[in-house]
Amino acid sequence: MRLIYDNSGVAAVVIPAPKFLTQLAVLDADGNDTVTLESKLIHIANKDLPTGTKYEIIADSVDLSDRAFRNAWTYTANNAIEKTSADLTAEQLASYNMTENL
Amino acid sequence: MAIVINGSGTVTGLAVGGLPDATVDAGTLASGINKTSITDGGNATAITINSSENVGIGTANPAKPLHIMKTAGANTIENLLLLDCNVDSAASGKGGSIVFQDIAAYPNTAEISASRVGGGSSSEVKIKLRNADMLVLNSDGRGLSQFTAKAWINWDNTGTLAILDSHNVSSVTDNAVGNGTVVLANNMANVNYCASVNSQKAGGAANDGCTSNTNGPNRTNGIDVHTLRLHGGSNNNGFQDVDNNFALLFGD
Repeated sequence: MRLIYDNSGVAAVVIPAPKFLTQLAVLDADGNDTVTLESKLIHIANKDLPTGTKYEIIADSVDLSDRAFRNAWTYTANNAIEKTSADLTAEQLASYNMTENL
Repeated sequence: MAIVINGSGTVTGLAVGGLPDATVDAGTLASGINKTSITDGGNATAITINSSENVGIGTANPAKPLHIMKTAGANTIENLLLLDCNVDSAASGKGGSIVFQDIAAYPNTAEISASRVGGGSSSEVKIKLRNADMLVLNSDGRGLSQFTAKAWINWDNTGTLAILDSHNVSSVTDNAVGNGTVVLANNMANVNYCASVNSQKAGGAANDGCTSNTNGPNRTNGIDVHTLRLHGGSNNNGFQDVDNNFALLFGD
């Protein structure tokens, strides 16, 4: 999954780092990850996008490989699935050393 | 050998008062020992204190002030020492340390501490020299110091942007052709860090190359990276998507 949002008229695509996704896992007693991938993407949106940014989560199956007109990609909101990045909690901000936001 | 305490599971091994040792006869040692704690339930010698005042646990010939020995098998790491801050207490940020000292006029020679970070499952090991932090190893895999990279990443944006490998990076944003934003998992302490970026493109003519630079000032949460084509003799220079984009950050 990825995030997509409007960046000054051009669509920006946020690719989560696989290692960071692993870092966000919460394992149960059997070693299974209890956090859904969508929840992790929302966490990354809240962390990496400016607060209040409208974005959507798109599946990996969405083909973004043809970059011939990359600079012409635009973000068209789908109100049914569009989300808005929110603030992290103070504890989360501290854990990421985001002290300027505290 | 001054004293041998046999680990028979009883205090019979503590019958040291009868030994011809003035210190013991004076009662200094006897009063300082919790007799019930010196047991091992077996027949081997549990603790040895020799005439050099070296204490041996698991060895009858202690070579240092405290010498702990347990034979380790092949490819086996034996736990020789357990430092317990009380596992039944859930206090945030608690930990313990080992301290080295040399001269009273200076701060401690060194200190190695291990602690819980906050109230979660994270932990860290910290090495201090003269009371200054030299290296912090965090359970999320980061090594924090002036000589370890705070973050690095290698990504490919010739097709759908793919992060090939990274350290302390939460995401890369594909902004446009040859234009990416690296966001750190854990922010830098300030913007005065050193960021080095570079790139590599497969194929191309002998006079075709690429280069990268950071775009705009450092931010505590990351950098913007531009990648450009450098082609001798053509007018096709400009932003370009390449196979490998590298970013490396050192600093506080």
